[in-house]
Amino acid sequence: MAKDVIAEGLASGRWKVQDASQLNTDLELTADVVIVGTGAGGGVSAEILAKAGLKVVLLEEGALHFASRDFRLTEANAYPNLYQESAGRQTKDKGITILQGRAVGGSTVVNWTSSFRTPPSTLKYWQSQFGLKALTVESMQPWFEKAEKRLNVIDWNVEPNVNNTVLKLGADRLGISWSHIRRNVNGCMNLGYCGMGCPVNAKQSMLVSTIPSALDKGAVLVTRARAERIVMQGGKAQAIEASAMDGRGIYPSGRKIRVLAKAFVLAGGSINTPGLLLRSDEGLNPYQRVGKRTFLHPVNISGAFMPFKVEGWNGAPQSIYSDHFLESQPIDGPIGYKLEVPPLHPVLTAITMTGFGAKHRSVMSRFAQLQVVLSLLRDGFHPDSPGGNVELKRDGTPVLDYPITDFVWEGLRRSYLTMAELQFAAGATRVVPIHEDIGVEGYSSWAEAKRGISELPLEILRAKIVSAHVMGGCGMSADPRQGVVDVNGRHHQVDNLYVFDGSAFPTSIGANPQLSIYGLVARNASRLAGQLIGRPVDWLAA
Amino acid sequence: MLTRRQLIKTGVLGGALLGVARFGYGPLEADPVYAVVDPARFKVLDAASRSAMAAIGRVMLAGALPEAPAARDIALQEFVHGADIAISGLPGVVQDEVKQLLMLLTNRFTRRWVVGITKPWGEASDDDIGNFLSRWRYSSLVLLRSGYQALHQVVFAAWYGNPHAWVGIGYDGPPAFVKDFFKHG
Repeated sequence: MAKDVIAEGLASGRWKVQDASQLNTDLELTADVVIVGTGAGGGVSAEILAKAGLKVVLLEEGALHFASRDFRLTEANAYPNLYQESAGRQTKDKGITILQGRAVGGSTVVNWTSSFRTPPSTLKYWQSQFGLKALTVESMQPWFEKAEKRLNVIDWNVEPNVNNTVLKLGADRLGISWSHIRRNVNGCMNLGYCGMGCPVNAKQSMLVSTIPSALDKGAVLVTRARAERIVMQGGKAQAIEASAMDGRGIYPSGRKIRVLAKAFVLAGGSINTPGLLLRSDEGLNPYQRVGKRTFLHPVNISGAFMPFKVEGWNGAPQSIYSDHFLESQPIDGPIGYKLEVPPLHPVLTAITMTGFGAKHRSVMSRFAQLQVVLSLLRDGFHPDSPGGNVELKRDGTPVLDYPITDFVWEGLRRSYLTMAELQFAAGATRVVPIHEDIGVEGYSSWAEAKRGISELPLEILRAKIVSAHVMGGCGMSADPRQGVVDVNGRHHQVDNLYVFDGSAFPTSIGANPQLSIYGLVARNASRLAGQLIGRPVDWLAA
Repeated sequence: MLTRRQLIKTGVLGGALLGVARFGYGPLEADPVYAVVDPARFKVLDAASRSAMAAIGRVMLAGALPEAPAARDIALQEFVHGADIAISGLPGVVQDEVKQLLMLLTNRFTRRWVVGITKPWGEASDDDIGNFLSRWRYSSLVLLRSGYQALHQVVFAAWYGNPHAWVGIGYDGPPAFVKDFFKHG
């Protein structure tokens, strides 16, 4: 049995953890800093602020799971327990399905460990378009280095699994560049179940790194608590009100939690962080920027049947990528895309493959031969790619309205073509772009695929579009009319309110975002901690 | 069938349509129950919804369900239970949307005129159900396409989430040594 850092921490009796679903009375807490959310942003913030000696309270809507024992490696167990809306969160028109975590540790508990620094071209665009002059490659480098050290981001020197190898082989045969993906793992056993929670604590998620360390330093963690609104007084944030949820995290239980603090850090991730601001007192959204420019890296999918076993459930899910179609064209031209592969597990595969009855079953019966490539589109760098807008549903929960523009569809058609060509080049016998108008057997040759894809009607709920990266919605900007927070993550109008998560990005990243969040938040949380205690802090100091 | 224009109204005014149905047909009455299992096990699906889910599952899972009638019935019942668990894990407002879809499927008026299934679900033929699914799947109306996609998702998640369903797809489940871990842990 792997050492379970959460089980041990709880057993030590030193941690202050409250499961709000168990509350019999309302709860009031005070803190130097209250942090909403415990994912990539909240986790790093918690460790830095607690280490500085500040009294930190963390509010998390998800549950605290043991850091290995609770991960049973089945989708039926993982999706309802570890994901927003049972891994079925959707955009308003249901055109895009979003994978986003909901647990102590947030999406870092279920991500596929891919670790990329923010691409220089993205930082450059932020400098020129949003006035974020301080965010240069050079100034960010030490923050990425610290995050990489803290979370053990390493070169993954293990043979890629077959699913990834096909991407590499196809790229070589097309003459396009590819490279290895770095991963935040320590003692990874190459199992392939990252999306269901790492059973051996190898993935350095917030659950096994920054959160236990913040708890060791006296931080208070309240789980099953949904932050409802920020209460303002005299132009400053005064308190956060939260609802205790029931034991399954579905309905509020009726108990209330109130946290009074000096500083407020929002880190619920894109969609939830803008949602919280929209539900809060007036004065937080004078220029109507909250929720705007929310990005998804819209993803389309191409399946292929290979004449050999792929068994895409085995091995590190993502180890190879290609940025050829990001780097070979200007960032503000036609939309570019990154090529990666996903892990293949029965539920996600079965709901992704189109059709039903005997045809669907014939695909599933060849599950072991199935290879899948993804294209992540880099949205937000062109006027015709303005992203989506977060709104509130009638019960106050947030929903993202993300219409797919013709500009984005054009990129999706190009990426369908690229993926099909690449998969045939790698030896696929059939290629099946995931689209309702393409039969489950797909195409038998690149020529046939090229013809078919060129004529494909591109509409939502015909083309299968998904996302695993939600970014923006409370974007950074130098000009208060252009965004929600400044370059340090501080709210433009409220000076004790901060956004320390991926929602502060003014565009998408153009790469899996976890390391971009760690780096930027380490910078901004260190700054905040230094201001609050009156001397500089060092995240990694002993 | 209704015309396209009427269908658009149906989509937008689903609630109003149910009101009309209630008016025209008297009190809403569920179809006879097809897949009867211990009702106490169910959190979300009522008897009529269970019949509809079982009938839709029978068609969508063709090829995946066991051949022998007895085994098949058990598998279908397990599937309906799995669908109930999957739906009950969704947030409240999303559950409400699924319940609206189920109401559309099970109300006699809308089943006939929107779904296009003339007989109660338990008596509908595989062809009729398959045709309904294909109509919604390729509909020009986003709302009906989203209804099909919701069913597709619930049915296949409920089925392939169950380890019994992994037989025949070449997937052995999580690595064995991890299973041992849990036994001893």
